[in-house]
Amino acid sequence: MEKKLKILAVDDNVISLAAIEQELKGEYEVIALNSGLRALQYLKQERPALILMDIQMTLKDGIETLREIRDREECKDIPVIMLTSLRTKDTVLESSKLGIVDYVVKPFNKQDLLERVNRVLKPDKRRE
Amino acid sequence: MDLMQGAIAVENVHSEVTVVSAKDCKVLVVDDNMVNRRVARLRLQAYGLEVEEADSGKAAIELVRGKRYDIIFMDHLMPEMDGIEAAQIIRKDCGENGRLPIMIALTANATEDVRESFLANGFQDFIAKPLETEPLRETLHRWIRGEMAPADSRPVEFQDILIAGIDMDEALAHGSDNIEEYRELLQLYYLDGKRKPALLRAFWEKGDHKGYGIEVHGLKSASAGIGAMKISESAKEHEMAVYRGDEAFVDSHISQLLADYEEQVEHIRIFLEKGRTCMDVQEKKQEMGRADLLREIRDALDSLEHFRAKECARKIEDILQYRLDPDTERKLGKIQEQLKLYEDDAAEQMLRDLTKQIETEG
Repeated sequence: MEKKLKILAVDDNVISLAAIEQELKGEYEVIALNSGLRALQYLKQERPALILMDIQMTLKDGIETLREIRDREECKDIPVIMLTSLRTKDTVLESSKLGIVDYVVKPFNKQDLLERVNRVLKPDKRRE
Repeated sequence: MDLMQGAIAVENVHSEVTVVSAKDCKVLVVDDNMVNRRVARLRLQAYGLEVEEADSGKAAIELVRGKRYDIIFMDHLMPEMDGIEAAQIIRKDCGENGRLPIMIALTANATEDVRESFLANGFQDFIAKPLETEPLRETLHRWIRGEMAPADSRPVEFQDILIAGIDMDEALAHGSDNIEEYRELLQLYYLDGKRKPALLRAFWEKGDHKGYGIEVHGLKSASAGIGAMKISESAKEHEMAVYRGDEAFVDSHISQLLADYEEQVEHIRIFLEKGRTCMDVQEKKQEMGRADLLREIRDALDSLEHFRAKECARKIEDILQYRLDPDTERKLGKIQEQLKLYEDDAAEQMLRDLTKQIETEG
Protein backbone atom coordinates (compact mmCIF):
# COMPACT_ATOMS: atom_id res chain seq x y z
CA MET A 1 0.00 0.00 0.00
CA GLU A 2 1.30 3.38 -0.99
CA LYS A 3 2.18 5.61 1.91
CA LYS A 4 0.31 8.91 1.92
CA LEU A 5 2.17 12.03 0.92
CA LYS A 6 2.86 14.51 3.71
CA ILE A 7 1.42 18.00 3.63
CA LEU A 8 2.54 20.65 6.09
CA ALA A 9 -0.29 23.09 6.84
CA VAL A 10 0.61 26.30 8.65
CA ASP A 11 -2.02 28.73 9.91
CA ASP A 12 -2.54 30.42 13.23
CA ASN A 13 -6.30 30.18 12.82
CA VAL A 14 -7.85 27.13 14.42
CA ILE A 15 -10.85 26.83 12.14
CA SER A 16 -8.69 27.16 9.06
CA LEU A 17 -6.36 24.41 10.20
CA ALA A 18 -9.25 22.15 11.12
CA ALA A 19 -10.95 22.68 7.77
CA ILE A 20 -7.71 21.94 5.91
CA GLU A 21 -7.17 18.79 7.91
CA GLN A 22 -10.72 17.58 7.45
CA GLU A 23 -10.57 18.01 3.71
CA LEU A 24 -7.09 16.63 3.04
CA LYS A 25 -6.67 13.86 5.59
CA GLY A 26 -8.49 11.37 3.39
CA GLU A 27 -5.83 11.39 0.73
CA TYR A 28 -2.83 12.84 2.53
CA GLU A 29 -1.04 12.84 5.84
CA VAL A 30 -1.52 16.33 7.23
CA ILE A 31 0.79 17.92 9.77
CA ALA A 32 -1.07 20.95 11.06
CA LEU A 33 0.98 23.56 12.89
CA ASN A 34 -0.16 26.88 14.22
CA SER A 35 2.95 28.99 13.76
CA GLY A 36 5.71 29.74 11.30
CA LEU A 37 8.27 29.14 14.04
CA ARG A 38 7.02 25.66 14.70
CA ALA A 39 6.85 24.99 10.97
CA LEU A 40 10.53 25.88 10.63
CA GLN A 41 11.38 23.56 13.51
CA TYR A 42 9.44 20.79 11.80
CA LEU A 43 11.26 21.36 8.53
CA LYS A 44 14.56 20.70 10.27
CA GLN A 45 13.39 17.15 10.94
CA GLU A 46 11.00 16.24 8.14
CA ARG A 47 10.42 16.84 4.48
CA PRO A 48 6.79 17.22 3.40
CA ALA A 49 5.72 16.97 -0.23
CA LEU A 50 3.89 20.29 -0.05
CA ILE A 51 3.54 23.30 2.22
CA LEU A 52 0.22 25.12 2.65
CA MET A 53 0.75 28.35 4.47
CA ASP A 54 -1.28 31.36 5.57
CA ILE A 55 0.34 34.62 4.55
CA GLN A 56 -0.79 36.65 7.53
CA MET A 57 0.01 35.26 10.94
CA THR A 58 0.94 36.92 14.18
CA LEU A 59 4.47 36.39 15.50
CA LYS A 60 6.27 35.14 12.45
CA ASP A 61 4.20 35.77 9.39
CA GLY A 62 3.93 33.73 6.21
CA ILE A 63 6.26 35.81 4.06
CA GLU A 64 9.06 35.78 6.60
CA THR A 65 8.66 32.07 7.07
CA LEU A 66 8.67 31.51 3.35
CA ARG A 67 11.82 33.54 3.01
CA GLU A 68 13.54 31.38 5.56
CA ILE A 69 12.32 28.23 3.89
CA ARG A 70 13.80 29.37 0.62
CA ASP A 71 17.08 30.03 2.36
CA ARG A 72 17.49 26.50 3.56
CA GLU A 73 19.02 23.78 1.44
CA GLU A 74 16.91 21.00 2.82
CA CYS A 75 13.51 22.52 2.09
CA LYS A 76 13.90 25.31 -0.43
CA ASP A 77 12.53 23.27 -3.30
CA ILE A 78 9.35 22.07 -1.60
CA PRO A 79 6.31 23.43 -3.45
CA VAL A 80 4.32 26.03 -1.51
CA ILE A 81 0.68 27.09 -1.78
CA MET A 82 -0.12 30.31 0.07
CA LEU A 83 -3.43 31.06 1.72
CA THR A 84 -4.36 34.68 1.48
CA SER A 85 -7.14 37.22 1.65
CA LEU A 86 -7.83 39.38 -1.39
CA ARG A 87 -6.46 42.46 0.21
CA THR A 88 -2.99 41.12 0.66
CA LYS A 89 -2.41 41.34 -3.07
CA ASP A 90 1.00 42.93 -2.59
CA THR A 91 2.08 40.15 -0.38
CA VAL A 92 0.91 37.64 -2.95
CA LEU A 93 3.23 39.31 -5.45
CA GLU A 94 5.98 39.29 -2.87
CA SER A 95 5.49 35.63 -2.15
CA SER A 96 5.40 34.70 -5.81
CA LYS A 97 8.82 36.31 -6.13
CA LEU A 98 9.84 33.78 -3.52
CA GLY A 99 8.34 31.08 -5.67
CA ILE A 100 4.92 29.66 -4.90
CA VAL A 101 2.99 27.28 -7.09
CA ASP A 102 -0.48 28.57 -6.30
CA TYR A 103 -2.47 30.61 -3.85
CA VAL A 104 -5.89 30.12 -2.30
CA VAL A 105 -8.12 32.95 -1.19
CA LYS A 106 -9.67 32.80 2.27
CA PRO A 107 -12.28 32.01 3.33
CA PHE A 108 -11.72 29.04 1.09
CA ASN A 109 -13.98 26.36 -0.25
CA LYS A 110 -12.72 22.99 0.96
CA GLN A 111 -13.21 21.11 -2.27
CA ASP A 112 -11.42 23.84 -4.18
CA LEU A 113 -8.47 23.52 -1.82
CA LEU A 114 -8.27 19.77 -2.37
CA GLU A 115 -8.34 20.22 -6.12
CA ARG A 116 -5.44 22.67 -6.06
CA VAL A 117 -3.41 20.39 -3.84
CA ASN A 118 -4.11 17.42 -6.12
CA ARG A 119 -3.06 19.47 -9.11
CA VAL A 120 0.38 19.86 -7.59
CA LEU A 121 0.84 16.46 -6.02
CA LYS A 122 -1.18 14.20 -8.27
CA PRO A 123 -1.15 15.84 -11.67
CA ASP A 124 -1.89 12.59 -13.46
CA LYS A 125 -4.96 11.88 -11.39
CA ARG A 126 -8.14 13.11 -12.99
CA ARG A 127 -10.80 14.16 -10.51
CA GLU A 128 -14.09 12.46 -11.40
CA MET B 1 -58.95 28.25 -5.91
CA ASP B 2 -60.85 25.34 -4.60
CA LEU B 3 -61.37 25.05 -0.93
CA MET B 4 -63.47 22.05 -0.11
CA GLN B 5 -65.17 22.53 3.15
CA GLY B 6 -67.02 20.28 5.42
CA ALA B 7 -68.75 21.33 8.52
CA ILE B 8 -66.18 20.92 11.16
CA ALA B 9 -67.64 19.92 14.45
CA VAL B 10 -65.19 20.74 17.16
CA GLU B 11 -65.62 17.39 18.82
CA ASN B 12 -65.20 15.34 15.73
CA VAL B 13 -62.32 16.56 13.71
CA HIS B 14 -61.30 13.31 12.11
CA SER B 15 -64.00 13.44 9.49
CA GLU B 16 -64.95 16.27 7.15
CA VAL B 17 -61.48 17.57 6.84
CA THR B 18 -60.66 20.67 4.98
CA VAL B 19 -58.09 19.91 2.36
CA VAL B 20 -56.24 22.55 0.52
CA SER B 21 -54.74 22.61 -2.94
CA ALA B 22 -51.01 23.21 -3.11
CA LYS B 23 -51.38 25.89 -5.74
CA ASP B 24 -51.85 29.31 -4.13
CA CYS B 25 -51.80 27.80 -0.69
CA LYS B 26 -51.34 30.61 1.81
CA VAL B 27 -49.78 29.87 5.14
CA LEU B 28 -49.53 31.96 8.28
CA VAL B 29 -46.97 31.20 10.99
CA VAL B 30 -47.70 32.58 14.43
CA ASP B 31 -44.99 32.44 17.08
CA ASP B 32 -43.58 35.08 19.41
CA ASN B 33 -40.06 33.74 18.92
CA MET B 34 -38.31 35.19 15.89
CA VAL B 35 -35.97 32.27 15.38
CA ASN B 36 -38.76 29.71 15.42
CA ARG B 37 -40.75 31.83 12.98
CA ARG B 38 -37.79 31.99 10.66
CA VAL B 39 -37.21 28.25 10.71
CA ALA B 40 -40.86 27.58 10.05
CA ARG B 41 -40.99 30.10 7.24
CA LEU B 42 -37.89 28.76 5.50
CA ARG B 43 -39.02 25.16 5.75
CA LEU B 44 -42.46 25.94 4.43
CA GLN B 45 -41.11 28.11 1.63
CA ALA B 46 -38.97 25.18 0.55
CA TYR B 47 -42.24 23.49 -0.39
CA GLY B 48 -43.15 26.39 -2.61
CA LEU B 49 -45.79 27.71 -0.22
CA GLU B 50 -46.53 31.39 0.34
CA VAL B 51 -45.74 32.14 3.95
CA GLU B 52 -46.48 35.11 6.20
CA GLU B 53 -45.61 35.66 9.82
CA ALA B 54 -47.26 37.07 12.89
CA ASP B 55 -45.57 37.51 16.23
CA SER B 56 -48.61 37.24 18.48
CA GLY B 57 -52.18 35.96 18.70
CA LYS B 58 -53.46 39.50 18.42
CA ALA B 59 -51.42 40.19 15.28
CA ALA B 60 -52.65 36.96 13.77
CA ILE B 61 -56.28 37.84 14.38
CA GLU B 62 -55.81 41.20 12.68
CA LEU B 63 -54.17 39.59 9.65
CA VAL B 64 -56.82 36.95 9.36
CA ARG B 65 -59.54 39.58 9.33
CA GLY B 66 -57.99 41.20 6.29
CA LYS B 67 -56.88 38.18 4.33
CA ARG B 68 -57.66 34.54 3.83
CA TYR B 69 -55.14 31.94 4.94
CA ASP B 70 -55.47 28.26 4.16
CA ILE B 71 -53.27 26.94 6.90
CA ILE B 72 -52.24 28.58 10.15
CA PHE B 73 -49.39 27.22 12.26
CA MET B 74 -49.80 28.62 15.71
CA ASP B 75 -47.63 28.39 18.79
CA HIS B 76 -49.94 27.41 21.59
CA LEU B 77 -48.00 29.17 24.32
CA MET B 78 -47.43 32.85 23.82
CA PRO B 79 -47.37 35.82 26.16
CA GLU B 80 -50.55 37.91 26.37
CA MET B 81 -52.91 35.85 24.25
CA ASP B 82 -52.17 32.17 23.95
CA GLY B 83 -52.65 30.09 20.83
CA ILE B 84 -55.80 28.37 21.96
CA GLU B 85 -57.62 31.61 22.66
CA ALA B 86 -56.44 33.07 19.37
CA ALA B 87 -57.50 29.93 17.53
CA GLN B 88 -61.00 30.15 18.94
CA ILE B 89 -61.35 33.79 17.95
CA ILE B 90 -60.06 33.06 14.46
CA ARG B 91 -62.48 30.17 14.03
CA LYS B 92 -65.31 32.42 15.07
CA ASP B 93 -64.26 35.22 12.72
CA CYS B 94 -63.62 32.97 9.76
CA GLY B 95 -66.63 30.83 10.50
CA GLU B 96 -68.73 33.86 9.74
CA ASN B 97 -67.13 34.18 6.28
CA GLY B 98 -67.37 30.46 5.77
CA ARG B 99 -63.68 30.10 5.14
CA LEU B 100 -62.06 28.15 7.91
CA PRO B 101 -58.31 27.81 7.77
CA ILE B 102 -56.67 24.62 8.88
CA MET B 103 -55.20 25.30 12.28
CA ILE B 104 -52.11 23.45 13.33
CA ALA B 105 -50.70 23.90 16.82
CA LEU B 106 -46.98 24.34 17.28
CA THR B 107 -45.93 22.79 20.48
CA ALA B 108 -42.78 21.99 22.37
CA ASN B 109 -44.76 19.31 24.06
CA ALA B 110 -46.18 16.80 21.62
CA THR B 111 -47.49 14.08 23.86
CA GLU B 112 -50.81 12.23 23.50
CA ASP B 113 -52.70 13.92 26.30
CA VAL B 114 -51.79 17.35 25.00
CA ARG B 115 -53.04 16.25 21.58
CA GLU B 116 -56.57 15.77 22.81
CA SER B 117 -56.70 19.22 24.29
CA PHE B 118 -55.52 20.79 21.03
CA LEU B 119 -58.11 18.93 19.01
CA ALA B 120 -60.79 19.92 21.45
CA ASN B 121 -59.77 23.55 21.21
CA GLY B 122 -60.05 24.36 17.59
CA PHE B 123 -56.90 22.88 16.16
CA GLN B 124 -57.05 20.19 13.48
CA ASP B 125 -53.53 19.01 13.97
CA PHE B 126 -50.37 19.71 15.89
CA ILE B 127 -46.68 19.44 15.27
CA ALA B 128 -43.60 19.68 17.44
CA LYS B 129 -41.38 22.71 17.16
CA PRO B 130 -38.89 23.60 15.93
CA LEU B 131 -40.19 22.05 12.76
CA GLU B 132 -38.30 19.02 11.56
CA THR B 133 -38.13 17.54 8.12
CA GLU B 134 -40.12 14.32 8.40
CA PRO B 135 -42.90 15.48 10.69
CA LEU B 136 -43.44 18.54 8.53
CA ARG B 137 -43.54 16.53 5.33
CA GLU B 138 -46.12 14.18 6.81
CA THR B 139 -48.24 17.03 8.12
CA LEU B 140 -48.23 18.94 4.86
CA HIS B 141 -49.11 15.86 2.87
CA ARG B 142 -51.96 15.24 5.23
CA TRP B 143 -53.61 18.58 4.52
CA ILE B 144 -52.40 19.66 1.12
CA ARG B 145 -53.46 18.03 -2.09
CA GLY B 146 -51.38 18.28 -5.21
CA GLU B 147 -47.76 18.77 -6.15
CA MET B 148 -45.61 20.79 -3.87
CA ALA B 149 -42.14 22.01 -4.71
CA PRO B 150 -39.42 19.50 -3.89
CA ALA B 151 -38.17 19.99 -0.38
CA ASP B 152 -34.77 21.22 0.64
CA SER B 153 -31.90 19.69 -1.24
CA ARG B 154 -29.49 20.11 1.63
CA PRO B 155 -28.20 17.00 3.34
CA VAL B 156 -30.83 15.86 5.80
CA GLU B 157 -28.97 16.44 9.04
CA PHE B 158 -28.05 19.98 8.08
CA GLN B 159 -31.68 20.89 7.62
CA ASP B 160 -32.30 20.42 11.29
CA ILE B 161 -29.46 22.56 12.52
CA LEU B 162 -30.55 25.87 13.83
CA ILE B 163 -28.19 28.16 15.65
CA ALA B 164 -28.86 31.86 16.05
CA GLY B 165 -26.48 33.88 13.93
CA ILE B 166 -25.53 30.98 11.69
CA ASP B 167 -26.50 30.68 8.07
CA MET B 168 -26.36 26.98 7.18
CA ASP B 169 -26.34 27.68 3.47
CA GLU B 170 -23.11 29.61 3.90
CA ALA B 171 -21.59 26.84 6.00
CA LEU B 172 -22.41 24.39 3.24
CA ALA B 173 -20.99 26.75 0.63
CA HIS B 174 -17.67 26.61 2.44
CA GLY B 175 -17.53 22.91 1.95
CA SER B 176 -19.08 21.41 5.06
CA ASP B 177 -20.93 18.39 3.80
CA ASN B 178 -20.43 16.10 6.71
CA ILE B 179 -22.26 16.70 9.95
CA GLU B 180 -19.49 15.24 12.13
CA GLU B 181 -16.91 17.51 10.61
CA TYR B 182 -19.15 20.52 10.95
CA ARG B 183 -19.66 19.80 14.64
CA GLU B 184 -15.91 19.58 15.05
CA LEU B 185 -15.52 23.01 13.52
CA LEU B 186 -18.22 24.36 15.81
CA GLN B 187 -16.46 22.90 18.81
CA LEU B 188 -13.22 24.52 17.81
CA TYR B 189 -14.90 27.82 17.21
CA TYR B 190 -16.31 27.56 20.69
CA LEU B 191 -13.00 26.62 22.35
CA ASP B 192 -11.23 29.34 20.44
CA GLY B 193 -14.00 31.78 21.26
CA LYS B 194 -13.43 31.31 24.98
CA ARG B 195 -10.14 33.13 24.82
CA LYS B 196 -10.20 35.27 21.69
CA PRO B 197 -12.37 38.18 22.85
CA ALA B 198 -9.95 38.96 25.68
CA LEU B 199 -7.05 38.63 23.30
CA LEU B 200 -8.63 41.04 20.82
CA ARG B 201 -9.27 43.60 23.50
CA ALA B 202 -5.73 43.25 24.83
CA PHE B 203 -4.22 43.86 21.40
CA TRP B 204 -6.30 46.96 20.84
CA GLU B 205 -5.86 48.42 24.28
CA LYS B 206 -2.12 48.16 24.21
CA GLY B 207 -2.05 49.80 20.82
CA ASP B 208 -1.03 46.79 18.76
CA HIS B 209 -3.19 47.68 15.78
CA LYS B 210 -1.44 45.30 13.46
CA GLY B 211 -2.00 42.41 15.85
CA TYR B 212 -5.62 43.40 16.22
CA GLY B 213 -5.99 43.61 12.46
CA ILE B 214 -4.61 40.13 12.00
CA GLU B 215 -6.88 38.71 14.67
CA VAL B 216 -10.06 40.23 13.23
CA HIS B 217 -8.94 39.03 9.84
CA GLY B 218 -8.79 35.54 11.30
CA LEU B 219 -12.14 36.00 13.00
CA LYS B 220 -13.68 37.04 9.70
CA SER B 221 -12.54 33.86 7.96
CA ALA B 222 -13.26 31.52 10.80
CA SER B 223 -16.76 32.87 11.24
CA ALA B 224 -17.51 32.62 7.52
CA GLY B 225 -16.21 29.06 7.60
CA ILE B 226 -18.95 28.00 9.98
CA GLY B 227 -21.63 30.24 8.53
CA ALA B 228 -21.61 32.90 11.25
CA MET B 229 -22.05 35.64 8.70
CA LYS B 230 -22.99 38.52 10.98
CA ILE B 231 -19.80 38.18 12.97
CA SER B 232 -17.85 37.71 9.78
CA GLU B 233 -19.24 40.96 8.37
CA SER B 234 -18.50 42.88 11.55
CA ALA B 235 -14.99 41.49 11.73
CA LYS B 236 -14.48 42.54 8.13
CA GLU B 237 -15.52 46.10 8.97
CA HIS B 238 -12.97 46.18 11.74
CA GLU B 239 -10.31 44.74 9.50
CA MET B 240 -10.95 47.43 6.91
CA ALA B 241 -10.97 50.14 9.57
CA VAL B 242 -7.55 49.03 10.77
CA TYR B 243 -6.33 48.90 7.22
CA ARG B 244 -7.30 52.50 6.53
CA GLY B 245 -6.10 53.69 9.93
CA ASP B 246 -9.57 54.51 11.23
CA GLU B 247 -8.91 54.04 14.95
CA ALA B 248 -12.04 55.93 15.92
CA PHE B 249 -14.20 53.30 14.25
CA VAL B 250 -12.67 50.47 16.21
CA ASP B 251 -12.73 52.47 19.45
CA SER B 252 -16.45 53.01 19.12
CA HIS B 253 -17.33 49.53 17.81
CA ILE B 254 -15.03 47.12 19.58
CA SER B 255 -17.31 46.51 22.53
CA GLN B 256 -20.20 45.66 20.24
CA LEU B 257 -18.06 43.27 18.20
CA LEU B 258 -16.81 41.46 21.28
CA ALA B 259 -20.29 41.29 22.79
CA ASP B 260 -21.71 39.86 19.56
CA TYR B 261 -18.81 37.42 19.31
CA GLU B 262 -19.34 36.19 22.86
CA GLU B 263 -23.04 35.84 22.23
CA GLN B 264 -22.41 33.80 19.09
CA VAL B 265 -20.04 31.53 21.00
CA GLU B 266 -22.69 31.08 23.67
CA HIS B 267 -25.33 30.10 21.09
CA ILE B 268 -22.90 27.53 19.75
CA ARG B 269 -22.18 26.21 23.21
CA ILE B 270 -25.90 25.71 23.84
CA PHE B 271 -26.26 23.89 20.54
CA LEU B 272 -23.31 21.62 21.29
CA GLU B 273 -24.62 20.88 24.78
CA LYS B 274 -27.93 19.71 23.37
CA GLY B 275 -26.22 17.40 20.93
CA ARG B 276 -24.02 15.77 23.47
CA THR B 277 -25.01 12.15 23.91
CA CYS B 278 -24.94 10.75 27.39
CA MET B 279 -21.58 9.19 27.90
CA ASP B 280 -21.77 5.90 29.63
CA VAL B 281 -20.15 6.23 32.97
CA GLN B 282 -17.50 3.68 32.28
CA GLU B 283 -16.08 1.70 35.07
CA LYS B 284 -12.51 2.95 34.90
CA LYS B 285 -10.37 -0.08 34.40
CA GLN B 286 -7.69 0.11 37.02
CA GLU B 287 -5.19 2.32 38.60
CA MET B 288 -2.00 3.03 36.82
CA GLY B 289 1.21 2.78 38.78
CA ARG B 290 3.42 5.81 38.96
CA ALA B 291 6.18 4.25 36.93
CA ASP B 292 3.77 3.25 34.17
CA LEU B 293 2.13 6.67 34.18
CA LEU B 294 5.48 8.36 33.84
CA ARG B 295 6.43 6.12 30.96
CA GLU B 296 3.15 6.74 29.14
CA ILE B 297 3.34 10.50 29.57
CA ARG B 298 6.95 10.60 28.40
CA ASP B 299 5.87 8.55 25.41
CA ALA B 300 3.11 11.03 24.58
CA LEU B 301 5.56 13.91 24.97
CA ASP B 302 7.97 12.18 22.64
CA SER B 303 5.30 11.93 19.94
CA LEU B 304 4.56 15.61 20.28
CA GLU B 305 8.24 16.57 20.16
CA HIS B 306 8.40 14.74 16.86
CA PHE B 307 5.44 16.67 15.50
CA ARG B 308 3.03 13.78 15.78
CA ALA B 309 0.32 15.68 17.61
CA LYS B 310 -2.53 13.32 16.75
CA GLU B 311 -0.54 10.39 18.06
CA CYS B 312 0.11 12.31 21.26
CA ALA B 313 -3.60 13.05 21.64
CA ARG B 314 -4.43 9.37 21.22
CA LYS B 315 -1.90 8.36 23.83
CA ILE B 316 -3.33 10.85 26.29
CA GLU B 317 -6.81 9.56 25.54
CA ASP B 318 -5.56 6.06 26.42
CA ILE B 319 -4.02 7.24 29.65
CA LEU B 320 -7.31 8.86 30.63
CA GLN B 321 -8.99 5.44 30.46
CA TYR B 322 -7.20 4.60 33.68
CA ARG B 323 -8.09 5.76 37.14
CA LEU B 324 -5.86 8.74 37.89
CA ASP B 325 -5.55 11.28 40.63
CA PRO B 326 -7.88 14.21 39.97
CA ASP B 327 -5.13 16.77 39.51
CA THR B 328 -3.36 14.66 36.90
CA GLU B 329 -6.64 13.95 35.15
CA ARG B 330 -7.50 17.64 35.05
CA LYS B 331 -4.09 18.56 33.67
CA LEU B 332 -4.29 15.90 30.98
CA GLY B 333 -7.72 17.25 30.08
CA LYS B 334 -6.27 20.72 29.65
CA ILE B 335 -3.46 19.34 27.52
CA GLN B 336 -6.03 17.63 25.29
CA GLU B 337 -7.82 20.93 24.89
CA GLN B 338 -4.60 22.66 23.85
CA LEU B 339 -3.92 19.95 21.30
CA LYS B 340 -7.42 20.34 19.89
CA LEU B 341 -6.65 24.02 19.41
CA TYR B 342 -3.37 23.17 17.68
CA GLU B 343 -1.49 24.85 20.51
CA ASP B 344 1.25 22.24 20.34
CA ASP B 345 3.90 24.42 21.99
CA ALA B 346 1.66 25.03 25.00
CA ALA B 347 0.71 21.36 25.18
CA GLU B 348 4.38 20.37 25.05
CA GLN B 349 5.25 22.69 27.88
CA MET B 350 2.37 21.43 29.99
CA LEU B 351 3.39 17.83 29.37
CA ARG B 352 6.95 18.61 30.40
CA ASP B 353 5.74 20.31 33.56
CA LEU B 354 3.48 17.38 34.36
CA THR B 355 6.33 14.94 33.80
CA LYS B 356 8.55 16.90 36.16
CA GLN B 357 5.80 17.09 38.72
CA ILE B 358 5.27 13.34 38.73
CA GLU B 359 9.00 12.68 38.80
CA THR B 360 9.53 14.84 41.85
CA GLU B 361 6.45 13.54 43.64
CA GLY B 362 8.24 10.20 44.00
